[in-house]
Amino acid sequence: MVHLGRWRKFIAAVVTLIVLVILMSVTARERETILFLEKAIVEAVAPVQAWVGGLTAGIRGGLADLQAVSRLRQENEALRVKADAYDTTLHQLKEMEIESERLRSLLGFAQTVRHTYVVADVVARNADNWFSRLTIDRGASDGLAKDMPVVTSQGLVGRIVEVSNHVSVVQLLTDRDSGAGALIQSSRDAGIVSGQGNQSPLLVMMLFERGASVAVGDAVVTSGLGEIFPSGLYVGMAVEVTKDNYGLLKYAKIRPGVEFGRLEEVLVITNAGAAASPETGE
Amino acid sequence: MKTLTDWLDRLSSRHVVLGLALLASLILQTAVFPHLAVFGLRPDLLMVVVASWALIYGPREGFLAGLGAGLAQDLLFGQYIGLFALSKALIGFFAGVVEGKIFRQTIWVPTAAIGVAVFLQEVVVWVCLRALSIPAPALGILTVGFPVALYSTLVAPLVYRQFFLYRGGERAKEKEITGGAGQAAVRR
Repeated sequence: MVHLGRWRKFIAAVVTLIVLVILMSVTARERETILFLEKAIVEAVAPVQAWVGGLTAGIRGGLADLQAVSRLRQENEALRVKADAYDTTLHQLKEMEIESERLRSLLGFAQTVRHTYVVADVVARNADNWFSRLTIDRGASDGLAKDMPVVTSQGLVGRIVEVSNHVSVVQLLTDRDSGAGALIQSSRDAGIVSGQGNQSPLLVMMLFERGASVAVGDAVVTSGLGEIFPSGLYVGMAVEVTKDNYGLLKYAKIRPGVEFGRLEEVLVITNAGAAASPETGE
Repeated sequence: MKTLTDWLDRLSSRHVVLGLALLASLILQTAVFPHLAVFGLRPDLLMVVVASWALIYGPREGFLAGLGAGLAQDLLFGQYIGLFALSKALIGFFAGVVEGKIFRQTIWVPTAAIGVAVFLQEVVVWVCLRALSIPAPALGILTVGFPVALYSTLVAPLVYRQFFLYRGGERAKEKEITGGAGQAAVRR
């Protein structure tokens, strides 16, 4: 019998490291399910994260509020004037909406499917500096599932990558591993938008066509081709157009509509597969 | 069952302190530090705790602290389970090897050692990401690893000092116990 003696701990450590390497290689592929242990930890820690995060955001907000009081007074006056003007515009818009509905039915257009949303609070962000993920306080018990798109009123946020009963993990569009089929709104040229990590606030759109027509200031929306994100969701605005070193591929740098660093609430689209176009939900 | 009981017996109050420190770090890291991000980067408080612990208690404790912290991080957010457990356990172990070999009378030497540990952990993560073909910036060591290590050194003295004082308290208790036993033996 081989006597392991003082090597026992060293061998245990090496075996642990080898197991971790194997585990990492296996989980590096796209997973459909998450481990029970993952669910348990996420569920247990999320309420505390939500409380601490809320407290921090509250303190931060309170400090910002104090600084903003005098500025807000002036803005308030200006906004009152604008609000009066908007009231008039609102009436005109209502008229146009009624007219639009009437014309739509006259032309025999199919009723577009409206999105249904679940509102969720952001409770935490990932602990490292390599990925861009956040935790929201809604899960499978609220009807959420993997790959559901997440948005705000400013535009596309990302997609759900992990779901447990009451909590879900969202991969942000700024994550290097993310990707969304997109279109230049004006020219309808297609491409894929992906993130550049936490360090860059800009997204990159790789255009499929070398001769694609894109200019600074063009709006970028989802194309709906990837089967995860419905078409027409606002992604951002082109701020720079470049070509690769060989001139074969065209890229556009996109300033996202969403301020990813300031996300507090998000909307999860629960019927993205069924929805045909983005309209206001419930 | 006997093994479990033995293990629980050996689980000292020191490990309860470590567990609580890691849990608090994990919560701060995910719920508070995002508000303190500079150019999208945050200090790695978990690694600061692991490295501080390793510098005080040695390689075995450093390895276990790194393994625990990394696994919690992986299971909480990771698509890639094992990535942070591997990197933190490995660097926790090597930080522990330095234990007793560095000058600890001034806070700046351990602080620098913790900064180096955070940097090396980011290097291991970057290498793993590249090896597994997971998108990671080509210059990630410079654009992520170095600034994160630098930022982490700001919180390192606070964490290290707490553990250092705790270890001092432990030593004082140990002395008291062994001293008391010695006196009792003399009386007998």
